[in-house]
Amino acid sequence: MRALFRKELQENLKPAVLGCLLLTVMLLVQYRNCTVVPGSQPLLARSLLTVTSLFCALIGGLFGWLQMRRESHRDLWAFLIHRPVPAPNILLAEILAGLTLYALAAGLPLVALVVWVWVPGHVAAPFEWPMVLPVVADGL
Amino acid sequence: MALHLATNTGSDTPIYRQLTDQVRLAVATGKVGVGDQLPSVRALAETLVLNPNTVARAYTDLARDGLIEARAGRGVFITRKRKVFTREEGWRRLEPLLAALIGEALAMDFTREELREAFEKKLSQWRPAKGGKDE
Amino acid sequence: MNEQPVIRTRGLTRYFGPKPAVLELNLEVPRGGVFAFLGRNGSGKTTTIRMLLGLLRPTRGEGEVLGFNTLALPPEARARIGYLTEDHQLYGWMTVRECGQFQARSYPRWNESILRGVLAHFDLNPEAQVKDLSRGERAGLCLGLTLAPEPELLILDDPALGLDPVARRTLIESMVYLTRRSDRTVFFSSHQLADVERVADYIAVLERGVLRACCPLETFRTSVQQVRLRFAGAPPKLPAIPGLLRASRGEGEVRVACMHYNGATEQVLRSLAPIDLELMPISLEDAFLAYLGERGEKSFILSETEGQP
Repeated sequence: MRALFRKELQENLKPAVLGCLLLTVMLLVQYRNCTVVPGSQPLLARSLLTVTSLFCALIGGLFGWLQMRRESHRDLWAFLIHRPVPAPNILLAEILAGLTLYALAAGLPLVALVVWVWVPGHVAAPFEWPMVLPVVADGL
Repeated sequence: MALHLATNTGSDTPIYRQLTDQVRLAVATGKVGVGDQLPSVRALAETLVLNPNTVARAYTDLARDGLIEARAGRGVFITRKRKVFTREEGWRRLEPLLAALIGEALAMDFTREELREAFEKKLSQWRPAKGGKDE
Repeated sequence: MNEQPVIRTRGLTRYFGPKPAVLELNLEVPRGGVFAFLGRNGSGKTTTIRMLLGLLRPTRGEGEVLGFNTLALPPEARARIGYLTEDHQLYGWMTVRECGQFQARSYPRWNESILRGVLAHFDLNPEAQVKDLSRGERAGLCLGLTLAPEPELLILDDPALGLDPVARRTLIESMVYLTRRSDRTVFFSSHQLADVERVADYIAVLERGVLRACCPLETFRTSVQQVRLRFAGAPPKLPAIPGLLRASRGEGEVRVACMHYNGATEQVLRSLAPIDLELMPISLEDAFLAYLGERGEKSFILSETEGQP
Protein backbone atom coordinates (compact mmCIF):
# COMPACT_ATOMS: atom_id res chain seq x y z
CA MET A 1 0.00 0.00 0.00
CA ARG A 2 2.89 2.33 0.66
CA ALA A 3 3.97 1.86 -2.92
CA LEU A 4 0.53 2.93 -4.12
CA PHE A 5 0.59 5.97 -1.86
CA ARG A 6 3.97 6.99 -3.10
CA LYS A 7 3.03 6.42 -6.69
CA GLU A 8 -0.05 8.63 -6.36
CA LEU A 9 2.05 11.34 -4.74
CA GLN A 10 4.61 11.19 -7.50
CA GLU A 11 2.00 11.16 -10.17
CA ASN A 12 0.10 14.20 -8.95
CA LEU A 13 3.01 16.22 -7.73
CA LYS A 14 3.19 18.55 -10.69
CA PRO A 15 -0.42 19.73 -10.57
CA ALA A 16 -0.06 20.09 -6.81
CA VAL A 17 2.91 22.39 -7.12
CA LEU A 18 1.13 24.36 -9.80
CA GLY A 19 -1.92 24.79 -7.62
CA CYS A 20 0.25 25.83 -4.74
CA LEU A 21 1.99 28.48 -6.75
CA LEU A 22 -1.24 29.83 -8.14
CA LEU A 23 -2.77 30.08 -4.72
CA THR A 24 0.30 31.88 -3.47
CA VAL A 25 0.07 34.36 -6.30
CA MET A 26 -3.59 35.00 -5.69
CA LEU A 27 -3.02 35.46 -2.01
CA LEU A 28 -0.23 37.88 -2.66
CA VAL A 29 -2.38 39.92 -4.98
CA GLN A 30 -5.20 40.05 -2.50
CA TYR A 31 -2.85 40.91 0.30
CA ARG A 32 -1.48 43.81 -1.67
CA ASN A 33 -4.98 45.10 -2.25
CA CYS A 34 -5.79 44.81 1.41
CA THR A 35 -2.75 46.51 2.75
CA VAL A 36 -3.37 49.56 0.60
CA VAL A 37 -6.00 50.52 3.16
CA PRO A 38 -4.12 51.01 6.39
CA GLY A 39 -5.39 49.40 9.55
CA SER A 40 -7.41 46.79 7.80
CA GLN A 41 -7.27 43.20 8.87
CA PRO A 42 -6.01 41.28 5.84
CA LEU A 43 -7.02 37.97 7.19
CA LEU A 44 -10.59 39.08 7.57
CA ALA A 45 -10.76 40.88 4.30
CA ARG A 46 -13.76 39.86 2.26
CA SER A 47 -11.90 39.71 -0.94
CA LEU A 48 -9.19 37.56 0.53
CA LEU A 49 -11.65 35.13 1.97
CA THR A 50 -13.60 34.95 -1.25
CA VAL A 51 -10.46 34.20 -3.11
CA THR A 52 -9.36 31.58 -0.64
CA SER A 53 -12.66 29.78 -0.53
CA LEU A 54 -13.14 29.80 -4.26
CA PHE A 55 -9.66 28.80 -5.03
CA CYS A 56 -9.40 26.09 -2.46
CA ALA A 57 -12.62 24.57 -3.68
CA LEU A 58 -11.35 24.76 -7.22
CA ILE A 59 -8.03 23.21 -6.42
CA GLY A 60 -9.65 20.48 -4.38
CA GLY A 61 -12.06 19.67 -7.16
CA LEU A 62 -9.41 19.76 -9.82
CA PHE A 63 -7.20 17.44 -7.87
CA GLY A 64 -9.92 14.89 -7.40
CA TRP A 65 -10.77 15.09 -11.07
CA LEU A 66 -7.18 14.68 -12.14
CA GLN A 67 -6.72 11.67 -9.92
CA MET A 68 -9.80 10.06 -11.33
CA ARG A 69 -8.96 10.90 -14.90
CA ARG A 70 -5.61 9.18 -14.69
CA GLU A 71 -7.27 5.88 -14.00
CA SER A 72 -10.31 6.36 -16.19
CA HIS A 73 -8.83 4.34 -19.00
CA ARG A 74 -10.31 0.92 -18.40
CA ASP A 75 -7.17 -1.06 -18.76
CA LEU A 76 -5.19 1.25 -16.53
CA TRP A 77 -7.80 0.89 -13.87
CA ALA A 78 -7.60 -2.86 -14.33
CA PHE A 79 -3.84 -2.63 -13.87
CA LEU A 80 -4.40 -0.76 -10.64
CA ILE A 81 -7.11 -2.99 -9.23
CA HIS A 82 -5.75 -6.34 -10.22
CA ARG A 83 -3.08 -6.82 -7.59
CA PRO A 84 -2.92 -8.65 -4.29
CA VAL A 85 -3.94 -5.60 -2.28
CA PRO A 86 -7.49 -5.39 -0.95
CA ALA A 87 -9.54 -2.94 -2.98
CA PRO A 88 -10.43 -0.71 -0.01
CA ASN A 89 -6.72 -0.29 0.68
CA ILE A 90 -6.11 0.78 -2.87
CA LEU A 91 -8.80 3.41 -2.60
CA LEU A 92 -7.51 4.54 0.77
CA ALA A 93 -4.02 4.99 -0.58
CA GLU A 94 -5.37 7.16 -3.37
CA ILE A 95 -7.48 9.28 -1.05
CA LEU A 96 -4.73 9.75 1.47
CA ALA A 97 -2.31 10.77 -1.23
CA GLY A 98 -4.81 13.24 -2.59
CA LEU A 99 -5.47 14.75 0.83
CA THR A 100 -1.80 15.00 1.62
CA LEU A 101 -1.05 16.84 -1.54
CA TYR A 102 -4.00 19.11 -1.11
CA ALA A 103 -3.02 19.89 2.45
CA LEU A 104 0.43 20.84 1.26
CA ALA A 105 -0.66 22.73 -1.82
CA ALA A 106 -3.35 24.77 -0.14
CA GLY A 107 -1.98 24.66 3.35
CA LEU A 108 1.48 25.98 2.71
CA PRO A 109 0.52 29.30 1.17
CA LEU A 110 -2.15 29.87 3.81
CA VAL A 111 0.19 29.06 6.65
CA ALA A 112 2.79 31.29 5.07
CA LEU A 113 0.28 34.11 4.89
CA VAL A 114 -0.76 33.69 8.49
CA VAL A 115 2.84 33.64 9.61
CA TRP A 116 3.59 36.73 7.57
CA VAL A 117 0.72 38.63 9.08
CA TRP A 118 1.72 37.44 12.51
CA VAL A 119 5.36 38.37 12.34
CA PRO A 120 5.51 42.03 11.28
CA GLY A 121 2.70 42.79 13.69
CA HIS A 122 0.30 44.46 11.31
CA VAL A 123 -2.43 43.15 13.42
CA ALA A 124 -2.86 43.14 17.14
CA ALA A 125 -1.77 39.87 18.60
CA PRO A 126 -4.92 38.86 20.52
CA PHE A 127 -6.91 38.87 17.39
CA GLU A 128 -4.52 36.55 15.81
CA TRP A 129 -5.81 33.08 16.33
CA PRO A 130 -9.55 33.48 15.81
CA MET A 131 -8.77 35.28 12.60
CA VAL A 132 -7.04 32.23 11.28
CA LEU A 133 -10.24 30.28 11.53
CA PRO A 134 -12.11 31.60 8.51
CA VAL A 135 -9.10 30.98 6.36
CA VAL A 136 -8.72 27.49 7.72
CA ALA A 137 -12.42 26.88 7.21
CA ASP A 138 -12.02 27.93 3.62
CA GLY A 139 -9.12 25.61 3.24
CA LEU A 140 -11.16 22.70 4.43
CA MET B 1 22.22 -33.98 -36.01
CA ALA B 2 21.23 -33.63 -39.61
CA LEU B 3 17.54 -33.55 -38.93
CA HIS B 4 15.91 -30.19 -39.48
CA LEU B 5 12.25 -30.03 -38.59
CA ALA B 6 9.95 -27.19 -39.49
CA THR B 7 6.23 -26.63 -39.17
CA ASN B 8 3.61 -24.62 -40.97
CA THR B 9 0.50 -23.27 -39.42
CA GLY B 10 -2.58 -22.87 -41.56
CA SER B 11 -1.79 -25.99 -43.49
CA ASP B 12 -4.26 -28.74 -44.30
CA THR B 13 -2.00 -31.12 -42.44
CA PRO B 14 -2.16 -31.02 -38.66
CA ILE B 15 1.13 -30.04 -37.09
CA TYR B 16 1.80 -33.39 -35.44
CA ARG B 17 1.41 -35.07 -38.80
CA GLN B 18 3.83 -32.61 -40.40
CA LEU B 19 6.38 -33.69 -37.82
CA THR B 20 5.85 -37.42 -38.32
CA ASP B 21 5.96 -37.02 -42.09
CA GLN B 22 9.24 -35.17 -41.88
CA VAL B 23 10.82 -37.73 -39.59
CA ARG B 24 9.65 -40.57 -41.80
CA LEU B 25 11.04 -38.82 -44.85
CA ALA B 26 14.33 -38.17 -43.13
CA VAL B 27 14.65 -41.84 -42.23
CA ALA B 28 13.63 -42.97 -45.70
CA THR B 29 16.12 -40.72 -47.43
CA GLY B 30 18.95 -41.54 -45.07
CA LYS B 31 19.24 -38.09 -43.54
CA VAL B 32 19.04 -39.76 -40.17
CA GLY B 33 19.89 -43.32 -39.39
CA VAL B 34 19.24 -45.89 -36.76
CA GLY B 35 20.74 -44.82 -33.49
CA ASP B 36 20.53 -41.09 -34.18
CA GLN B 37 19.02 -39.11 -31.38
CA LEU B 38 16.01 -36.86 -31.68
CA PRO B 39 15.47 -33.86 -29.40
CA SER B 40 13.34 -34.44 -26.33
CA VAL B 41 9.68 -33.53 -26.49
CA ARG B 42 10.22 -30.41 -24.44
CA ALA B 43 13.31 -29.31 -26.33
CA LEU B 44 11.63 -29.69 -29.70
CA ALA B 45 8.51 -27.95 -28.43
CA GLU B 46 10.53 -24.98 -27.30
CA THR B 47 12.62 -24.83 -30.45
CA LEU B 48 9.65 -24.98 -32.79
CA VAL B 49 7.44 -23.00 -30.43
CA LEU B 50 4.77 -25.65 -30.19
CA ASN B 51 2.63 -27.10 -27.51
CA PRO B 52 4.59 -30.04 -26.08
CA ASN B 53 1.50 -32.21 -26.33
CA THR B 54 1.61 -31.85 -30.09
CA VAL B 55 5.20 -33.01 -30.17
CA ALA B 56 4.39 -35.80 -27.76
CA ARG B 57 1.64 -36.96 -30.05
CA ALA B 58 3.97 -37.04 -33.03
CA TYR B 59 6.53 -39.01 -31.06
CA THR B 60 3.86 -41.42 -29.84
CA ASP B 61 2.75 -42.08 -33.39
CA LEU B 62 6.29 -42.63 -34.56
CA ALA B 63 7.01 -44.95 -31.65
CA ARG B 64 3.86 -46.90 -32.36
CA ASP B 65 5.02 -47.40 -35.91
CA GLY B 66 8.35 -48.63 -34.69
CA LEU B 67 10.32 -45.72 -36.06
CA ILE B 68 11.61 -44.30 -32.82
CA GLU B 69 11.96 -45.43 -29.28
CA ALA B 70 12.47 -43.75 -25.96
CA ARG B 71 15.28 -45.09 -23.87
CA ALA B 72 14.72 -44.40 -20.20
CA GLY B 73 16.85 -41.54 -18.99
CA ARG B 74 18.76 -41.24 -22.26
CA GLY B 75 16.37 -39.74 -24.77
CA VAL B 76 14.59 -40.52 -28.00
CA PHE B 77 16.36 -42.42 -30.76
CA ILE B 78 15.70 -43.62 -34.27
CA THR B 79 15.30 -47.31 -34.14
CA ARG B 80 15.28 -50.21 -36.51
CA LYS B 81 11.98 -50.45 -38.16
CA ARG B 82 10.21 -53.42 -36.79
CA LYS B 83 7.76 -55.08 -39.13
CA VAL B 84 4.67 -53.68 -37.50
CA PHE B 85 2.79 -53.48 -40.74
CA THR B 86 1.07 -56.27 -42.51
CA ARG B 87 1.81 -56.36 -46.19
CA GLU B 88 -1.63 -54.94 -46.82
CA GLU B 89 -1.12 -52.06 -44.45
CA GLY B 90 2.23 -51.39 -46.03
CA TRP B 91 0.74 -51.20 -49.53
CA ARG B 92 -1.97 -48.96 -48.23
CA ARG B 93 0.64 -46.56 -46.97
CA LEU B 94 2.64 -46.75 -50.12
CA GLU B 95 -0.22 -46.21 -52.51
CA PRO B 96 -0.72 -42.47 -51.97
CA LEU B 97 3.03 -41.89 -52.28
CA LEU B 98 3.06 -43.70 -55.62
CA ALA B 99 0.00 -41.81 -56.78
CA ALA B 100 1.60 -38.52 -55.82
CA LEU B 101 4.84 -39.36 -57.61
CA ILE B 102 3.20 -40.55 -60.82
CA GLY B 103 0.67 -37.75 -60.85
CA GLU B 104 3.33 -35.10 -60.34
CA ALA B 105 5.65 -36.52 -63.00
CA LEU B 106 2.94 -36.88 -65.62
CA ALA B 107 1.64 -33.41 -64.85
CA MET B 108 5.10 -32.10 -65.66
CA ASP B 109 4.83 -33.83 -69.03
CA PHE B 110 7.37 -36.52 -68.38
CA THR B 111 6.55 -39.68 -70.30
CA ARG B 112 5.90 -42.97 -68.61
CA GLU B 113 9.10 -44.32 -70.10
CA GLU B 114 11.11 -41.49 -68.64
CA LEU B 115 9.50 -42.06 -65.28
CA ARG B 116 10.19 -45.79 -65.37
CA GLU B 117 13.81 -45.15 -66.28
CA ALA B 118 14.26 -42.61 -63.51
CA PHE B 119 12.77 -45.00 -61.02
CA GLU B 120 15.00 -47.89 -62.05
CA LYS B 121 18.04 -45.68 -61.94
CA LYS B 122 17.28 -44.38 -58.48
CA LEU B 123 16.61 -47.84 -57.19
CA SER B 124 19.84 -49.26 -58.47
CA GLN B 125 21.78 -46.38 -57.00
CA TRP B 126 20.01 -46.51 -53.69
CA ARG B 127 22.29 -46.50 -50.68
CA PRO B 128 20.53 -48.01 -47.68
CA ALA B 129 19.88 -45.77 -44.64
CA LYS B 130 22.73 -45.85 -42.10
CA GLY B 131 22.64 -49.10 -40.20
CA GLY B 132 19.48 -50.26 -41.91
CA LYS B 133 19.10 -53.34 -43.96
CA ASP B 134 18.29 -53.05 -47.62
CA GLU B 135 15.34 -55.36 -48.10
CA MET C 1 -6.29 -36.22 -8.46
CA ASN C 2 -8.45 -33.31 -7.59
CA GLU C 3 -9.03 -31.67 -10.91
CA GLN C 4 -11.07 -28.66 -10.10
CA PRO C 5 -11.28 -26.39 -13.09
CA VAL C 6 -9.28 -23.19 -12.69
CA ILE C 7 -12.09 -21.21 -14.29
CA ARG C 8 -15.75 -22.07 -14.17
CA THR C 9 -18.76 -20.02 -15.15
CA ARG C 10 -22.44 -20.75 -14.79
CA GLY C 11 -24.95 -18.85 -16.82
CA LEU C 12 -22.64 -15.86 -17.00
CA THR C 13 -24.47 -13.07 -18.74
CA ARG C 14 -23.82 -9.41 -19.32
CA TYR C 15 -26.01 -6.89 -21.06
CA PHE C 16 -24.96 -3.47 -22.25
CA GLY C 17 -28.28 -1.76 -22.58
CA PRO C 18 -30.59 -4.06 -24.51
CA LYS C 19 -27.77 -5.95 -26.19
CA PRO C 20 -26.28 -9.05 -24.61
CA ALA C 21 -22.51 -9.04 -24.89
CA VAL C 22 -22.26 -12.43 -23.19
CA LEU C 23 -25.20 -14.80 -22.89
CA GLU C 24 -25.56 -17.74 -20.53
CA LEU C 25 -21.93 -18.72 -20.65
CA ASN C 26 -21.10 -22.10 -19.14
CA LEU C 27 -17.38 -22.50 -19.40
CA GLU C 28 -14.92 -24.80 -17.70
CA VAL C 29 -11.21 -24.39 -18.07
CA PRO C 30 -9.20 -27.35 -16.77
CA ARG C 31 -6.00 -26.88 -14.85
CA GLY C 32 -2.78 -27.18 -16.80
CA GLY C 33 -2.23 -26.58 -20.46
CA VAL C 34 -3.17 -23.81 -22.81
CA PHE C 35 -6.77 -22.78 -23.36
CA ALA C 36 -7.58 -20.58 -26.33
CA PHE C 37 -10.67 -18.43 -26.30
CA LEU C 38 -11.63 -17.76 -29.88
CA GLY C 39 -14.09 -15.45 -31.48
CA ARG C 40 -14.38 -12.55 -33.84
CA ASN C 41 -14.03 -8.98 -32.71
CA GLY C 42 -16.95 -7.99 -30.59
CA SER C 43 -17.93 -11.55 -29.80
CA GLY C 44 -17.73 -10.93 -26.06
CA LYS C 45 -14.27 -12.25 -25.20
CA THR C 46 -12.99 -9.15 -23.43
CA THR C 47 -16.27 -8.71 -21.57
CA THR C 48 -16.02 -12.29 -20.34
CA ILE C 49 -12.45 -11.81 -19.20
CA ARG C 50 -13.30 -8.62 -17.35
CA MET C 51 -16.08 -10.44 -15.55
CA LEU C 52 -13.77 -13.29 -14.66
CA LEU C 53 -11.41 -10.85 -13.01
CA GLY C 54 -14.09 -9.08 -11.07
CA LEU C 55 -13.63 -5.87 -13.03
CA LEU C 56 -17.12 -5.97 -14.45
CA ARG C 57 -20.24 -7.09 -12.73
CA PRO C 58 -22.29 -9.70 -14.59
CA THR C 59 -25.96 -9.05 -15.19
CA ARG C 60 -26.72 -12.65 -14.25
CA GLY C 61 -24.91 -15.81 -13.45
CA GLU C 62 -21.64 -16.34 -11.68
CA GLY C 63 -18.03 -17.16 -12.22
CA GLU C 64 -15.33 -18.85 -10.22
CA VAL C 65 -11.62 -18.47 -10.62
CA LEU C 66 -9.24 -20.69 -8.66
CA GLY C 67 -12.26 -21.64 -6.61
CA PHE C 68 -13.10 -18.08 -5.59
CA ASN C 69 -16.17 -16.16 -6.66
CA THR C 70 -15.18 -13.59 -9.26
CA LEU C 71 -17.03 -10.84 -7.46
CA ALA C 72 -14.93 -11.35 -4.37
CA LEU C 73 -11.42 -12.25 -5.42
CA PRO C 74 -9.24 -12.02 -2.34
CA PRO C 75 -5.69 -10.68 -2.58
CA GLU C 76 -4.18 -14.16 -2.36
CA ALA C 77 -6.13 -15.15 -5.45
CA ARG C 78 -5.04 -12.04 -7.33
CA ALA C 79 -1.47 -12.85 -6.41
CA ARG C 80 -1.80 -16.13 -8.27
CA ILE C 81 -3.47 -14.71 -11.36
CA GLY C 82 -1.55 -12.86 -14.01
CA TYR C 83 -3.52 -10.53 -16.24
CA LEU C 84 -2.34 -8.99 -19.47
CA THR C 85 -4.71 -6.49 -21.03
CA GLU C 86 -5.24 -5.79 -24.70
CA ASP C 87 -3.72 -2.35 -24.62
CA HIS C 88 -0.77 -3.08 -22.38
CA GLN C 89 -1.61 0.02 -20.37
CA LEU C 90 0.84 1.37 -17.85
CA TYR C 91 1.54 4.75 -16.25
CA GLY C 92 3.27 6.80 -18.91
CA TRP C 93 5.36 8.84 -16.54
CA MET C 94 7.03 5.84 -14.91
CA THR C 95 10.30 4.45 -16.13
CA VAL C 96 10.72 0.77 -16.88
CA ARG C 97 12.61 0.32 -13.65
CA GLU C 98 9.96 2.15 -11.64
CA CYS C 99 7.25 -0.08 -13.09
CA GLY C 100 9.17 -3.10 -11.94
CA GLN C 101 9.63 -1.69 -8.46
CA PHE C 102 6.02 -0.62 -8.21
CA GLN C 103 4.75 -4.08 -9.09
CA ALA C 104 7.30 -5.93 -7.02
CA ARG C 105 6.10 -4.16 -3.89
CA SER C 106 2.54 -5.38 -4.32
CA TYR C 107 3.31 -9.04 -4.84
CA PRO C 108 4.44 -11.47 -2.15
CA ARG C 109 6.21 -13.64 -4.69
CA TRP C 110 8.40 -11.88 -7.20
CA ASN C 111 11.03 -13.37 -9.42
CA GLU C 112 13.22 -10.48 -10.52
CA SER C 113 15.30 -12.66 -12.82
CA ILE C 114 12.24 -13.45 -14.93
CA LEU C 115 11.51 -9.76 -15.35
CA ARG C 116 15.10 -9.03 -16.20
CA GLY C 117 15.14 -11.86 -18.71
CA VAL C 118 12.08 -10.56 -20.52
CA LEU C 119 13.36 -6.98 -20.46
CA ALA C 120 16.66 -8.13 -21.90
CA HIS C 121 14.91 -10.10 -24.59
CA PHE C 122 12.97 -7.03 -25.65
CA ASP C 123 16.06 -4.90 -25.31
CA LEU C 124 14.42 -2.47 -22.92
CA ASN C 125 16.33 0.36 -21.28
CA PRO C 126 15.44 0.46 -17.58
CA GLU C 127 15.54 4.24 -17.53
CA ALA C 128 13.23 4.66 -20.52
CA GLN C 129 9.86 6.20 -19.80
CA VAL C 130 6.81 4.15 -20.59
CA LYS C 131 5.32 6.87 -22.75
CA ASP C 132 8.37 6.71 -25.01
CA LEU C 133 8.10 3.00 -25.59
CA SER C 134 6.71 1.50 -28.76
CA ARG C 135 3.69 -0.73 -28.53
CA GLY C 136 5.77 -3.85 -28.84
CA GLU C 137 8.16 -2.68 -26.12
CA ARG C 138 5.27 -1.87 -23.83
CA ALA C 139 3.85 -5.32 -24.47
CA GLY C 140 7.21 -6.81 -23.54
CA LEU C 141 7.32 -4.81 -20.34
CA CYS C 142 3.78 -5.83 -19.43
CA LEU C 143 4.62 -9.44 -20.16
CA GLY C 144 7.63 -9.29 -17.87
CA LEU C 145 5.61 -7.65 -15.10
CA THR C 146 2.92 -10.28 -15.45
CA LEU C 147 5.26 -13.27 -15.47
CA ALA C 148 7.51 -12.20 -12.62
CA PRO C 149 5.05 -13.11 -9.81
CA GLU C 150 4.99 -16.63 -11.31
CA PRO C 151 1.20 -16.81 -11.53
CA GLU C 152 -0.62 -20.12 -11.52
CA LEU C 153 -3.15 -18.83 -13.98
CA LEU C 154 -2.24 -16.48 -16.75
CA ILE C 155 -5.10 -14.63 -18.41
CA LEU C 156 -4.19 -12.85 -21.61
CA ASP C 157 -6.68 -10.69 -23.48
CA ASP C 158 -5.76 -10.68 -27.15
CA PRO C 159 -2.08 -10.42 -26.28
CA ALA C 160 -0.85 -10.40 -29.86
CA LEU C 161 -2.94 -7.42 -30.91
CA GLY C 162 -0.83 -4.82 -32.62
CA LEU C 163 2.41 -6.69 -32.11
CA ASP C 164 5.05 -7.22 -34.73
CA PRO C 165 5.97 -10.81 -35.57
CA VAL C 166 9.03 -10.82 -33.34
CA ALA C 167 7.11 -9.69 -30.28
CA ARG C 168 4.35 -12.15 -31.10
CA ARG C 169 6.83 -14.95 -31.32
CA THR C 170 8.28 -14.09 -27.93
CA LEU C 171 4.79 -14.09 -26.50
CA ILE C 172 4.06 -17.57 -27.77
CA GLU C 173 7.42 -18.77 -26.57
CA SER C 174 6.53 -17.57 -23.10
CA MET C 175 3.32 -19.54 -23.26
CA VAL C 176 5.17 -22.68 -24.26
CA TYR C 177 7.70 -22.01 -21.52
CA LEU C 178 4.96 -21.75 -18.93
CA THR C 179 3.67 -25.19 -19.78
CA ARG C 180 6.81 -26.62 -18.23
CA ARG C 181 4.85 -26.83 -15.01
CA SER C 182 1.77 -28.93 -15.37
CA ASP C 183 -0.05 -26.99 -12.66
CA ARG C 184 0.20 -23.76 -14.62
CA THR C 185 -2.65 -22.76 -16.90
CA VAL C 186 -2.71 -20.23 -19.71
CA PHE C 187 -6.03 -18.77 -20.80
CA PHE C 188 -5.81 -16.47 -23.76
CA SER C 189 -8.26 -14.90 -26.13
CA SER C 190 -7.26 -14.48 -29.71
CA HIS C 191 -8.27 -14.46 -33.27
CA GLN C 192 -4.86 -15.47 -34.52
CA LEU C 193 -5.51 -19.03 -35.56
CA ALA C 194 -1.87 -19.67 -36.38
CA ASP C 195 -0.92 -19.05 -32.76
CA VAL C 196 -3.82 -21.14 -31.53
CA GLU C 197 -2.83 -24.00 -33.75
CA ARG C 198 0.66 -23.94 -32.33
CA VAL C 199 0.05 -23.85 -28.64
CA ALA C 200 -3.55 -24.55 -27.68
CA ASP C 201 -4.64 -27.74 -25.98
CA TYR C 202 -8.25 -26.66 -25.66
CA ILE C 203 -10.38 -24.14 -27.45
CA ALA C 204 -13.64 -22.38 -26.74
CA VAL C 205 -15.43 -20.49 -29.47
CA LEU C 206 -17.58 -17.51 -28.66
CA GLU C 207 -19.88 -16.01 -31.25
CA ARG C 208 -22.04 -13.00 -30.51
CA GLY C 209 -21.80 -13.74 -26.83
CA VAL C 210 -22.83 -17.38 -27.15
CA LEU C 211 -20.52 -20.33 -26.59
CA ARG C 212 -20.39 -22.46 -29.69
CA ALA C 213 -17.72 -24.95 -28.78
CA CYS C 214 -15.58 -25.96 -25.83
CA CYS C 215 -13.35 -28.94 -26.37
CA PRO C 216 -9.81 -30.10 -27.01
CA LEU C 217 -8.37 -28.60 -30.16
CA GLU C 218 -7.89 -32.03 -31.66
CA THR C 219 -11.57 -32.86 -31.18
CA PHE C 220 -12.56 -29.71 -33.02
CA ARG C 221 -10.20 -30.49 -35.84
CA THR C 222 -11.40 -34.02 -36.35
CA SER C 223 -15.05 -33.07 -35.99
CA VAL C 224 -15.04 -30.87 -39.05
CA GLN C 225 -14.46 -32.69 -42.30
CA GLN C 226 -14.32 -31.65 -45.89
CA VAL C 227 -15.60 -33.85 -48.69
CA ARG C 228 -15.14 -33.30 -52.38
CA LEU C 229 -17.70 -34.64 -54.80
CA ARG C 230 -16.99 -34.66 -58.50
CA PHE C 231 -19.64 -34.72 -61.17
CA ALA C 232 -19.67 -35.16 -64.91
CA GLY C 233 -21.73 -32.10 -65.58
CA ALA C 234 -23.13 -29.39 -63.39
CA PRO C 235 -23.42 -30.53 -59.81
CA PRO C 236 -26.94 -31.20 -58.64
CA LYS C 237 -28.72 -29.30 -55.94
CA LEU C 238 -27.82 -30.51 -52.52
CA PRO C 239 -30.38 -32.17 -50.31
CA ALA C 240 -30.43 -31.71 -46.57
CA ILE C 241 -27.12 -33.05 -45.36
CA PRO C 242 -26.80 -33.81 -41.66
CA GLY C 243 -24.17 -31.64 -40.03
CA LEU C 244 -23.69 -29.43 -43.07
CA LEU C 245 -21.60 -26.35 -42.38
CA ARG C 246 -20.79 -25.01 -45.77
CA ALA C 247 -21.07 -26.09 -49.38
CA SER C 248 -19.27 -24.52 -52.28
CA ARG C 249 -19.67 -25.33 -55.93
CA GLY C 250 -16.99 -25.25 -58.56
CA GLU C 251 -16.79 -26.57 -62.06
CA GLY C 252 -18.08 -30.08 -61.94
CA GLU C 253 -17.49 -30.38 -58.27
CA VAL C 254 -18.96 -29.60 -54.91
CA ARG C 255 -17.03 -29.26 -51.68
CA VAL C 256 -18.93 -29.89 -48.54
CA ALA C 257 -17.72 -29.03 -45.09
CA CYS C 258 -19.65 -30.83 -42.42
CA MET C 259 -19.49 -32.00 -38.88
CA HIS C 260 -19.25 -35.54 -37.58
CA TYR C 261 -19.00 -37.10 -40.96
CA ASN C 262 -20.15 -40.68 -40.73
CA GLY C 263 -21.74 -43.48 -42.70
CA ALA C 264 -25.13 -41.81 -42.81
CA THR C 265 -23.67 -38.62 -44.21
CA GLU C 266 -21.70 -40.57 -46.76
CA GLN C 267 -24.85 -42.33 -47.90
CA VAL C 268 -26.66 -39.07 -48.45
CA LEU C 269 -23.74 -37.76 -50.46
CA ARG C 270 -23.40 -40.90 -52.54
CA SER C 271 -27.08 -40.71 -53.38
CA LEU C 272 -26.18 -37.74 -55.55
CA ALA C 273 -24.27 -40.17 -57.77
CA PRO C 274 -20.96 -38.35 -58.00
CA ILE C 275 -18.15 -39.71 -60.14
CA ASP C 276 -15.87 -39.42 -57.22
CA LEU C 277 -16.16 -38.80 -53.48
CA GLU C 278 -13.09 -37.96 -51.52
CA LEU C 279 -12.37 -36.90 -47.99
CA MET C 280 -10.06 -33.90 -48.13
CA PRO C 281 -7.84 -32.55 -45.43
CA ILE C 282 -8.96 -29.20 -44.09
CA SER C 283 -6.92 -26.53 -42.37
CA LEU C 284 -7.86 -25.28 -38.94
CA GLU C 285 -8.70 -21.90 -40.38
CA ASP C 286 -11.11 -23.32 -42.95
CA ALA C 287 -12.68 -25.55 -40.33
CA PHE C 288 -13.11 -22.58 -38.06
CA LEU C 289 -14.60 -20.40 -40.77
CA ALA C 290 -16.96 -23.14 -41.86
CA TYR C 291 -18.05 -23.75 -38.31
CA LEU C 292 -18.85 -20.11 -37.74
CA GLY C 293 -20.28 -19.60 -41.20
CA GLU C 294 -23.78 -18.78 -42.26
CA ARG C 295 -25.11 -22.25 -41.87
CA GLY C 296 -22.88 -23.18 -39.00
CA GLU C 297 -24.38 -25.76 -36.73
CA LYS C 298 -25.94 -24.12 -33.76
CA SER C 299 -25.26 -27.20 -31.72
CA PHE C 300 -22.45 -27.72 -29.32
CA ILE C 301 -19.41 -29.80 -29.90
CA LEU C 302 -19.21 -32.22 -27.04
CA SER C 303 -16.04 -32.00 -25.08
CA GLU C 304 -14.21 -35.23 -24.50
CA THR C 305 -14.55 -35.08 -20.77
CA GLU C 306 -18.17 -34.25 -20.24
CA GLY C 307 -21.26 -35.62 -21.82
CA GLN C 308 -23.59 -32.68 -21.56
CA PRO C 309 -24.35 -30.39 -24.47
